[in-house]
Order: sequence, then C-alpha cells, then structure tokens
Amino acid sequence: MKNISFYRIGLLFKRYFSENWKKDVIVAAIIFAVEMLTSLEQETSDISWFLLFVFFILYSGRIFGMLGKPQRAINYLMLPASGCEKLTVNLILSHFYYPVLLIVASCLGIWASSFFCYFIYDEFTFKSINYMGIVGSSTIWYACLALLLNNAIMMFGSVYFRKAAVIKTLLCEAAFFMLYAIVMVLFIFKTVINEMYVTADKIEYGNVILIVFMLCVTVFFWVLSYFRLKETEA
Amino acid sequence: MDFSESKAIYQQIADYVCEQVLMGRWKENDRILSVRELGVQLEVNPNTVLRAYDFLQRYGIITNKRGVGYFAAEDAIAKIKELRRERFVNKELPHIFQEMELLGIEIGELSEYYNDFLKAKKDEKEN
Amino acid sequence: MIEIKDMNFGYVPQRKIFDNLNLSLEAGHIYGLLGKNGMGKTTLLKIISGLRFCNRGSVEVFGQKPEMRNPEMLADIYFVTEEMDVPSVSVRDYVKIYAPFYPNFSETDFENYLRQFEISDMEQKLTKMSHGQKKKVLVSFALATNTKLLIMDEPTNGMDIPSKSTFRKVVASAINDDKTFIISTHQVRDLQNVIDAVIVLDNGQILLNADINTICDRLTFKVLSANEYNELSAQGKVLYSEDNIAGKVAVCTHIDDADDKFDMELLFCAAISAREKMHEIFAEKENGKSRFADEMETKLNN
Repeated sequence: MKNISFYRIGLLFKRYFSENWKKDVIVAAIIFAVEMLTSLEQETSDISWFLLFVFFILYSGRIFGMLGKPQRAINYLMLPASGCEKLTVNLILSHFYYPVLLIVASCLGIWASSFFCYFIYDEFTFKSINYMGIVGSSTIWYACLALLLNNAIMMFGSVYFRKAAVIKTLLCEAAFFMLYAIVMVLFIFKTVINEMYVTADKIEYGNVILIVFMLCVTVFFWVLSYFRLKETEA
Repeated sequence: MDFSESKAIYQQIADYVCEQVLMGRWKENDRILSVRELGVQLEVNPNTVLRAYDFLQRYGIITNKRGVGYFAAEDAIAKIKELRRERFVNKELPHIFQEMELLGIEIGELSEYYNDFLKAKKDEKEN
Repeated sequence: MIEIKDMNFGYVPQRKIFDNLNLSLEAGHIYGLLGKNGMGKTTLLKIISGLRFCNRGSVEVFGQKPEMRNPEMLADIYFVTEEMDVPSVSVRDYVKIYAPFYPNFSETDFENYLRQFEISDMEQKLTKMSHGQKKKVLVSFALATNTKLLIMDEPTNGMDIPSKSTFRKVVASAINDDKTFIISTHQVRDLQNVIDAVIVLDNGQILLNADINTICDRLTFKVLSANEYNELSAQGKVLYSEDNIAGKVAVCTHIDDADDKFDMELLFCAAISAREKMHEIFAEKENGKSRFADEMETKLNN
C-alpha cells in the first residue's frame, strides 16, 4: 500500500516514546514494587492479573486521548502520516508494547523479591513464576480477549466522540456488555431448558463461537475506527 | 523607519534608499542590500521592497545586474537630486504657493527669508 | 496553489458559514486574512488544511483535496493555531521528534529564528513556557519546516512588542516564490507591512482578495479637507471615511496623482461598510495581476 511508510511509522513510535517514556517508567516501577511486595511471603507467585488489567485499561485509555482536546486533535490530524499509519502505531502500542511492558515489570518484581527474601530470611530460593497458572487458565485468555475488544472499542470511542470521550465510551461499552450478557443468559437459559444436560463438547463448541465472535467484533471496531478517523474533523 | 507618514510604503522605502546614498552610507557603484535583506531590515514584505527598487530603477538611481544584485548607479546622487527637484517642483511647491496665496505672502518676501536662511547657515559654518 | 470553488459550509445545516465561497491564492505572497469575529476565519483555515470538510463545492490545495490527508501533502502544510497544545518535552526534543516529518526542515533556520526571538534555552520544557514563548518556538519551527503552505492563526497574539518586530523580520526573510503564507489577524497594524495581499471574509463570502499594488491602483487613501470631502462625496467617490485630527481620513476610488498611501485598517472598514462598491471596483479581472507582478518573480531572488 502506498499509504504505509515504515519510516513514518518509525517516526510515530519515536514521537510516542520521546513524549511518554517517563510515564511508562513510572508505571513499570509501580507494578514492579507492588509485585515485589506482594510476593515476598510466597514460594511461587502468580502475576496479579487483576492489577495488570486495571493498569492496562487505564493506560491504554491514555493513548486514545489523542483527539480529546481540540488543539491536540489538530496536532494529531495535521501530523504528516496517513490514518492507517497512525492507527497501526496505536494498535501495536496497545496490543504488544503495553502488555509486554506490564508483564516484564511484574516478572522482574517477583524475581526481585527472591533477592529480598535472601536478605530477610538468609536463604536464597529463586521464586518461580507460575506459568502454568497463566497459560492453563482459560479465564485469563477470556480476559485478554475482553481487553482486546475493550481496546478496539476505546479506540473507536476516542475517534467517534469529541467531548468526554472516555466517559461516553465506557457508558456505551457497559451498555454493549449488558446486552451481550443478557443475550448470553437467555441463550444459556434456553439451552438448559431445551436440553436438560450439557455435554463437554457443547461447551467447547460454545467457547469457540464466543472467541470467534469477540475477535470479529474487535476487528470490526478497528476497521470502523479507521474509517471514522479518516472523517474526523477538528 | 516610521511608516506613519502619508506616503506609500514603497515610496518610503525608496526614500530610505536615496537617503542612504546621499549620506554616503551606500556608495555609488557599490552593491546595495538585496530585496530580501532590506525587507528583513525594514520588516516589510520583499514584494514591496521590489516595487521600491523597480521605482528607483526607472529613475536610473539603481541598476540591476542579473544574477549579481542591485547596485547604486554611478551618477546616483545626481539622479536622486534630479528626482527630488522634480518632486519639489511638482508636489511641494503647489502647497507652498497655495499657503502663500492664502496668507498674502509676496514672492519677494520669500526670497528675503531664503537669503536670511543661507546667511545663517554660512555663519554657522564659519564658527 | 489553492483553489476554492463554490464552497458551502455550516456546522449545522441551518446556519451556513460559507455560501458559495470562491477563493484563489497564488504562491509567493503573504496573505492577510481579515474578517470580523465569527465570520469563520479559523474555519476557512481549517478547511484549507483539511481539518474540516466542506459540505459542497471543491477545495484544492496543490491540486489535491486536503480532506484526503495525504501524508506527502500534510508534510507540505503547517498550521500554527491560536491556542497551542504542546507535549511535555524540551525545545531540543521537540525538534528531534517532529522535524523528521518535514523533509525540508532546516535546523540552521530554526536556530536562527530562535536566536532572533531571543530564546536561547533549548533544554527548557515547552509546557513550562509562557504562551508567548511557546508561540515563538512554534512559529520558528513552522517557518523552519519550509512547507509550501504556512497557515498562522493570530500569530502575534500574546507576543510582546519586540517579538512582534522580530516576527515581521523572520516572516519577511522566510517567504519566497514557492511558498504561500496565510496569516489571519485582528492586529492589522502589527502586520500591515509584511502582508502583500489582503483577503476580506464577510457574510460567508470573500469580499476582497487582492494584492496591495492592485488595491493602490484602484483605491486612494487620503486625508481630506472639508471642501475636498464634499466635492468627492458629491461625485460618489468616497467609499468610507472617519474623522481624525487631520480632517477626514477617507478611502476613495482611485484619484490620479495622489500618493499611493495604504492603510489596512481603513481598507477593512471600507470593505465591510461599502460592500457593493468594493465588489464593483475589484470585480473586473485584475489586469495582469498588477503593474509589477510579472517582473517580480525573477527579481525577488537577487
């Protein structure tokens, strides 16, 4: 595509990091400290997913604030790069950079607590991270998917709403998930009534549908954001 | 430079250039400031300076050597005096005459004042 | 350079801001965009830079539609807004981040402009600077990008008196035949001498778009005695007048042999108080732009 230049994408990344590296370091430091303190007493540690998710939502909400103020919107739209490039950078930052940053900070925190234990208990045991707990738990995978969807919706909201974008987006999102939940409850209710027993492969089947559905909605919102950004005025 | 007097800006710029030459700051035959340089110095649009230079060129006060720049003409001072003389006779004298007529001042009276002026100037020089 | 044809625009459909607006701008000029409050000066600038889309008609900048926001085109437009939102980085970092987006950016120019504005501390954070300081940095940056189109919305607002003088100097030094500057302003006296073409925006249309030479060819700005005033107004030649200490300052249709004095504030007042006549005077095609326009192009570089 002639609208994509890796040079300009590089420049956009440089812009992000030059303007935000201090904030990123602070967030990483907070995660590091919290993980370190909470895992002092434990043999093996789980990454505290709840903390990460909260930070992730707060944090990725920030890069979507680029159209929040009128002046900022003008600067963003006048920046010589195509809408595609700008969205690509946002996508990569929110889907790869943030998760990696947060997870690395947590792991480092947990490992650092090993060294503290050494000073406190005079006995060195390297704390291992419960990887299986991460990979094995389907809840976390669903949570991740939900976060991806959340990102896509936030992106769209930030492009679509001009004033109080975050609040309006959250309200719409809440409404969306409520609706979704109602549909799911009805669906389950119906299934339970119709077929008195639920087999394991039926659950599996339902899960696949759910995952595909969430991914589709995520992509849908990103595409929608792309077209909306092209038409955003300042 | 004060632009508030009742003359077009380009004319004021032309006057400024003439003044520089008459006072010897810019010598005859020497290169003078470029359009852009003078524009920056006087804080005016280069196009306006260009118009002033064009005006001066038409009166032969400055010349344009292509690709080199603008130069004060070799007889620039004489040309400037000629221009000023023309302007004095055509523009300023009518005003003076009108005022003289209004106030009833005779031409003879005027030459008296003029002689006094010349004398005073001469005295000043001798002291 | 910029061609706007039959352009319509309104934030709400019921209230049109621009109604079949036509405007054509050429390179090599510093345009002053004048208009009363609420006439849509900023909106017009936004439409030209592709930030707002017109409802009907066509807008072309360098032969392209600005609303496409083609990156190559954006790299040739810079917009200095009246209010500014700056990132929390030092002046030096700002240049490192944003200059690479503009292929013709000149670091030497930038440093030169900053020096003239007397900003020496490159390590100072933009967010810690005063409004005027920020504006000086952004104006310096904007001029140093050497974009073909530079749009400045009220650039001298918030600048102190010496900076306004510096502003005129740097703008006069930066313009060339390939560039177009559009400066919207209420501070007419600040910029009168650097602007060489005037656009007056009124009631959704362009009331006047002419370079100053053409204006001086067609209008005369003159202090009139009571007699002269009566005589000229009897002939219907006085477009606008106001009283001042010297008598009546008036804008008249062209009078031969009068000095080509020019006053932008008077011009603006004349334009909005005698629309019809103004339109008539400037309606006929400018005869070969102006008396000197043809020769200007080659000479400007000398």
